[in-house]
Amino acid sequence: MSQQFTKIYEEHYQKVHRLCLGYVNGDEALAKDLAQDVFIKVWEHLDAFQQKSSIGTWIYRITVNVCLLFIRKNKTKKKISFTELRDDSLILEEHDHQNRLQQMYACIQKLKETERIIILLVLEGLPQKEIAEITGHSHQNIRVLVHRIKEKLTKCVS
Amino acid sequence: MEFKDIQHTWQQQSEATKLPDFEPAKQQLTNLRKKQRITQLILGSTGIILIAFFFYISAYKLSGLFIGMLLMIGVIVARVFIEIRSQQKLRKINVLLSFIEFKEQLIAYYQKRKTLAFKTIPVLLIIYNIGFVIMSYYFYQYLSRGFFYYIITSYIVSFIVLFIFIRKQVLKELDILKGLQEA
Repeated sequence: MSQQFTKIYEEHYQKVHRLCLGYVNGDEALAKDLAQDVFIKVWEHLDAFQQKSSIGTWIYRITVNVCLLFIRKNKTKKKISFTELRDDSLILEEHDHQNRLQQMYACIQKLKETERIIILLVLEGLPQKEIAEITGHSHQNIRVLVHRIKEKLTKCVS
Repeated sequence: MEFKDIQHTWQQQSEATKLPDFEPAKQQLTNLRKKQRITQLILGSTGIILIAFFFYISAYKLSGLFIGMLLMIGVIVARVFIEIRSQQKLRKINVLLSFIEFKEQLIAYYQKRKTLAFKTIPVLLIIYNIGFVIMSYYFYQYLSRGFFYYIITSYIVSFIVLFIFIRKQVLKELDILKGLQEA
């Protein structure tokens, strides 16, 4: 199991970390803790994985639930202001990219928790069918929700 | 900005994040399980000792002072047990459920916590105070006035602090419940 877990960990860590980062307003330390919590659960439940869905879907399902649980324990979230960004950066493009990301984090935070989870999965590029499987919503319902949340986010970021 | 651009920006991030070593987390999990077993063992033996002690003492001497003390200790022990059971229930919620089902279970959990806060805890606090009132009757008889007033004042102050702490905790949990129901 150890080898299988290591493979899963290496393949999925970045995606899980990115989703967690979006959930905790870009707070790197919190996202790292959260991702660790997710993989502890994966480690604990790996025997229960029945291959009914892909391992990716299964991990995302754990991730969204752990996010919901984790945020209950850590209600105080770090607010990242735009001024915290390093001004001494010589790479303007990187600076712009970071600024855009911070703006996106801020907009994602404004959404309701279910909407936040759904849009984070959309941003990761997951098909709607898989999102429906992870969240437990019907495919039809997800289609409507995704359309509505996409509009909200685009309007906020623009 | 189009949604495609937002998605592109999103997917470009954190590619460079270094993969943390998972071994410390595994170790942490093993330690946590050990601690849980030790806690259960300690609580179990404390319960058995308290029950044995009760029967041992009551066979010879069942005074008002003893009843008062028993009520107060009983409330504290009951409160600790309830809290530990509650934490265990929270940990047992299955993370493999779909997000909707998981959220429903969380809501049910916080609704139970609400019942606990508004029904069980007030009853426990009343019993705790009854225990103290019984004991204070004996304090009044056997202790000096100064020491008696010192005990009463300390009790009132600590009770107020405890009440504020419980209130803060309950309000936090109600806020969580509201957030979950709105999500």
